[in-house]
Amino acid sequence: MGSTALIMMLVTWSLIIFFTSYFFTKALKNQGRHNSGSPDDDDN
Amino acid sequence: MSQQKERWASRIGLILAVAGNAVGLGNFLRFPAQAIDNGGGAFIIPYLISFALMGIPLLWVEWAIGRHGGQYGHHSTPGMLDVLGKSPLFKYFGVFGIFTNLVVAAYYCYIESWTLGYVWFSITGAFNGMNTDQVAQHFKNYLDSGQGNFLNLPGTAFIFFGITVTLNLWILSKGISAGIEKASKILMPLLLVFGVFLAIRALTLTEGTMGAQHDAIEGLNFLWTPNFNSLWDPKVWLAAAGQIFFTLSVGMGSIQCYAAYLRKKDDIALNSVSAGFTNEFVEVVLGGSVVIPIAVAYLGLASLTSFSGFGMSFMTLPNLFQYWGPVFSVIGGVVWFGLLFFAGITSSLAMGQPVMAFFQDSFNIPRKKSVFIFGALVIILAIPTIILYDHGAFDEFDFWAGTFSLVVFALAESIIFIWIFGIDKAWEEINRGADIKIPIFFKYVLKYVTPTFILIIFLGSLISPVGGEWSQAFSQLFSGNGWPLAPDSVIGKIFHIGVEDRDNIWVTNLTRMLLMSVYLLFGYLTYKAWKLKLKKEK
Repeated sequence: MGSTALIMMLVTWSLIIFFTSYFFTKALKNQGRHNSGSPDDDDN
Repeated sequence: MSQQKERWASRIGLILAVAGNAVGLGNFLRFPAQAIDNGGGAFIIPYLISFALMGIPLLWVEWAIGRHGGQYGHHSTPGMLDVLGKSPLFKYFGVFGIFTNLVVAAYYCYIESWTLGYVWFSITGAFNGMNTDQVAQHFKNYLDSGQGNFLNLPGTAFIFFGITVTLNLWILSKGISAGIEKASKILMPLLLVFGVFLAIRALTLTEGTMGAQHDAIEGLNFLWTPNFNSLWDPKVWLAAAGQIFFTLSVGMGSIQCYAAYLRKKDDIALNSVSAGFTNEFVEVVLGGSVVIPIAVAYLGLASLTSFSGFGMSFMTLPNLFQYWGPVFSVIGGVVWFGLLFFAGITSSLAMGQPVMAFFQDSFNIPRKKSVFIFGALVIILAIPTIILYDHGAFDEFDFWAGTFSLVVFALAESIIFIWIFGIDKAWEEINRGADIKIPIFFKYVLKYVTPTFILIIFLGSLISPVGGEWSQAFSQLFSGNGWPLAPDSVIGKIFHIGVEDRDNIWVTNLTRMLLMSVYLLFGYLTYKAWKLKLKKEK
């Protein structure tokens, strides 16, 4: 595989994997705070 | 409007459901084809820029419109746009969010049913001993296509279509948390496991192993080698922005519907980027690592010259899987078509919910009955796409509902939300309860850049030139030779440019009248619903 193609691929993959796991982990950490279905939080 | 108490049971379920809505067949079939046609590795640069400046902001807009509408008891876009204020006409723009979901669901469930059918054929070994031509012919026979008859009457395809629709309706009938959310929590992880399995299998194919003629990695090399000159080509930018647009499922009304089941202070800023990036992971990392490497390993780089994701998927791959031996060919087929089926069903469920919510909210129709109405409408609308497949009815549905309407609606909703509802209120709405701090820079992106991006896509689709060659088209125009309008541009479609078969013109005109009638029907139902609402309020 050519080095330019390899660099393009690895940089893109790293960026996407980093942001996906970063945002997903952050959302999971706050799992209990929001969207948990607890009735006392219902302001509708 | 009725006060619905349905809610998402968990945050992970909501993110997976929205990601499942975005992850569809296009992630595995359309993205690699677009990248190959538009500069290989260089395509990813305008693609990621479009994702950051149009995709993510549009996700925030749609989640915010949805959560805002949900506070007023609206779970479909006519009501959501109506409560953004200013004009009673907004709700009729919102009809796009019902029309698109219903019409796309009709033909999308049909494609989804092909993948289910092909899972079955893989299990039963239907492709054993077939050569490439026979596998390709099997697909045509399955659709009863190219047989010379006026109508396509595919018996087996009808059966799998019936099973697919029933399965969708069964999940939808269970409700938001017990149906859609539960299904997403099972299907999305399975989809990721299947995708990773296939990507590893594909990328480890080397010349001489399992009948491979070339190293699969050559396919990745071809896909990722950048042609930086292509960055100056408007065609590449339009293709990249278009791919971002369609892969995120924006402009449909389904994201708004899912967000409407949130509470007022639930986060939407982080949820939307989590779902958006999950889609990007599936599309760029997995979607680019399956079909192309396998095709190149067995057929060489020549197979990519006129690459079609759908053709490769249904007419070639079942044949190539046979090189993997009797057991692994079955596993390969089941995993590949199973993966596509999971990608498809998580999207079609998201198309059903807004249509059902419209009936539930507007006419107090119970969920079970609204499921039945949605199912009946899907079947009625799918029939012309199935039996007039060879005459282009299917393509008409895809073009007007699955492409054109999305852009029109996204443009309308972003202008209404950002410019009419007001950027300050919109910014506040997006940031309320946010678990991430959105940089203020995005406020200006939302106000100026995102609508401009969508406007350019819209104008580009109206007058796109033959082959997407904009530079050539402008020089032709300025040299007094007119504009070379492409047959697949909106204007080209309207005037049937390049269509010679009179039967096809007749069928496409009838199909357009049918689609127009569906829009008018839902416009009328919206009018009746608001009249009913006013009467109740009095």
